Amino acid sequence: MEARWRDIDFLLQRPGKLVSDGFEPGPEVCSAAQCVCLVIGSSLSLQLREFLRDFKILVIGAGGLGCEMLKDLALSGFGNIDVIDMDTIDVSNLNRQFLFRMHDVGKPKAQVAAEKIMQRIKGVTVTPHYGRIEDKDIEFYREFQLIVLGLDSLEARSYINSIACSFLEYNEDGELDMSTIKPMVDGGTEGFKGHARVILPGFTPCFHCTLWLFPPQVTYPLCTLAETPRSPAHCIEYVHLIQWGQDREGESFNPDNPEHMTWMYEQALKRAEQFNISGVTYSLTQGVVKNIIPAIASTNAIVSAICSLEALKLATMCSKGLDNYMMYSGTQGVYTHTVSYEKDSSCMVCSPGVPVEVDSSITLQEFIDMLLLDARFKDKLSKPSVSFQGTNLYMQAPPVLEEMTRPNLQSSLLSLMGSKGVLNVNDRKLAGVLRVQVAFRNVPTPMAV
Amino acid sequence: MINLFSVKKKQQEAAQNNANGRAPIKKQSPGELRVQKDITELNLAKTTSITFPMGKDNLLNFEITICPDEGYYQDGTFVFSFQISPLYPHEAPKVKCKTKVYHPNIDLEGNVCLNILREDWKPVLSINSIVYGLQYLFLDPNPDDPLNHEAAEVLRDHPRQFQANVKRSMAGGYINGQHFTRCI
Repeated sequence: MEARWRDIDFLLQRPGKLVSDGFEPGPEVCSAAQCVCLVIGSSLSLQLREFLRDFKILVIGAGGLGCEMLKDLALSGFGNIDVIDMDTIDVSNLNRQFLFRMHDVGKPKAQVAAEKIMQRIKGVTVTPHYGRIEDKDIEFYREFQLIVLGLDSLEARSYINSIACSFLEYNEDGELDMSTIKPMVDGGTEGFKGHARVILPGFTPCFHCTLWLFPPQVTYPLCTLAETPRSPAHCIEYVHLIQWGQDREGESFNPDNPEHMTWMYEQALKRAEQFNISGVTYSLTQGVVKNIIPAIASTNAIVSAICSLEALKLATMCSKGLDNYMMYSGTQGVYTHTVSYEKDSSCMVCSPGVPVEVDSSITLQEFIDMLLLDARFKDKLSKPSVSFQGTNLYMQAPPVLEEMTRPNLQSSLLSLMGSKGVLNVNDRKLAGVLRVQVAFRNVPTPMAV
Repeated sequence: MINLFSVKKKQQEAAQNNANGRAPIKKQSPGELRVQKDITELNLAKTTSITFPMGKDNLLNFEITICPDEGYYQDGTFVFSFQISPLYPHEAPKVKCKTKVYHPNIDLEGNVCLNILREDWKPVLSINSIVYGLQYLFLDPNPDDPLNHEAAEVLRDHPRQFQANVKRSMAGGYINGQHFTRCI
């Protein structure tokens, strides 16, 4: 047994009460002989390690969390890792993004990270992608068996969450087809605090189910910024939101452009002097404008360790998985707490739609009339508006939209949708969005030529 | 905990996935769905109207026009652009005034000082609430928390001069060297 894999094998070989149902040490492991267990165990762990070597995993982000996760996953035995990041390396990253050095400043993070990991760890292939997650086709994400997130914004998480949840397929009885679950492990850090969570779309709450967890962003009244600033942040925000548009008309502000940031800092300093406010520094300017909080290497290391262990458990079932949200706080000592959040059964991103089967010839008008008569929606619908994947099929209001979408009422629903799928129905009487899974019967097969 | 990956199943899955040629799925963010709801429930007075400059399928960018029928700004036409983020309603919409207006709470760049657009935004609010807020700005301009302090001073100290200034700006005149386009 290679000494290199001794620790991982320890996890992969042991059967017992800590492992999950579905852990497959094989029937032989239940036999009494210790040495038999060890021999079977080691051949099993060999099998699992081979499985890990070919396991396709995607790491999103090659920054603070990303670097740590690439290291942890590669050392755990994952041999086929892809990493995507749209940023280039900055000097301020070097205190914690340990895969980068001074001479790497300016190069794309994903590429340098991939190179360094492959240099340092034998037997792993890391494929870098330098670009935005929104620029990748949905088919790109479908290839991966597990997605690990090291992101720094709500928007990016929400985007990946929608993509992962869009892979979910339910059968006619509303049961989830488990092979369509795209599991995600999401980590986040902010100063001394962090979280790690496991998202199994359709099972655990998705990112949208628990959007209420996030507090609203700090915003200041515009009039305070303009007339009565009291703090250095007020001065900076004034320059950011109001003065930039006035003095540098037409130019869009780019926070990664050092000249723009320096201008912002100097103007904020002048304004602060006008109002006798102290405390405006270049790094505070960056913090306020880009919403950044100073990052600490240890928090990233801790959260990444939790995430990669969860990834290992999901892939091999070697131990009970995190259920399902763990928070960490290092502000005073070390504190963690794990909560099992519940899925929102009417979540507009991950919930199954109410199944409805219709004939392939039905028109949109007939479909809407049918919905209004359906007993399941009694008292929930009055004037439903219907949309499908970003296209508004029929909007009941306001008058200008109703006119624009009225022609669709006479078209067949199948021609408007293209195939079976989930329709989004909005109505005054509904609290949220009603998802309807539409299946068509008697679909005409294309004529053979 | 469910077993999603079985060492034995892995080969089967890989073969299956390669065989299925699926069509790409377009995305509709949760923000769009919620704004769709808000828009179908809009309670617009006859002094307000809405347009969708980017077509019926882009509900994240639209314009609302307000024509107050009383107060200082009677008979003027003011256009506001709304930009909704994919995280709506977690984030407030970005609203700017496209019409140049002489108003204590709207500056010459179009920034609007309305509390519910910034520090008092709550996800339970909607586009309706914002439209009411904007209408209120025209019916009752507030000189105490101004973005345009010249206009605020005049409103506070010389209300009749303020009325005259507003009428002149709406007709396309000059106030203190600033030109305003006609919007009446």
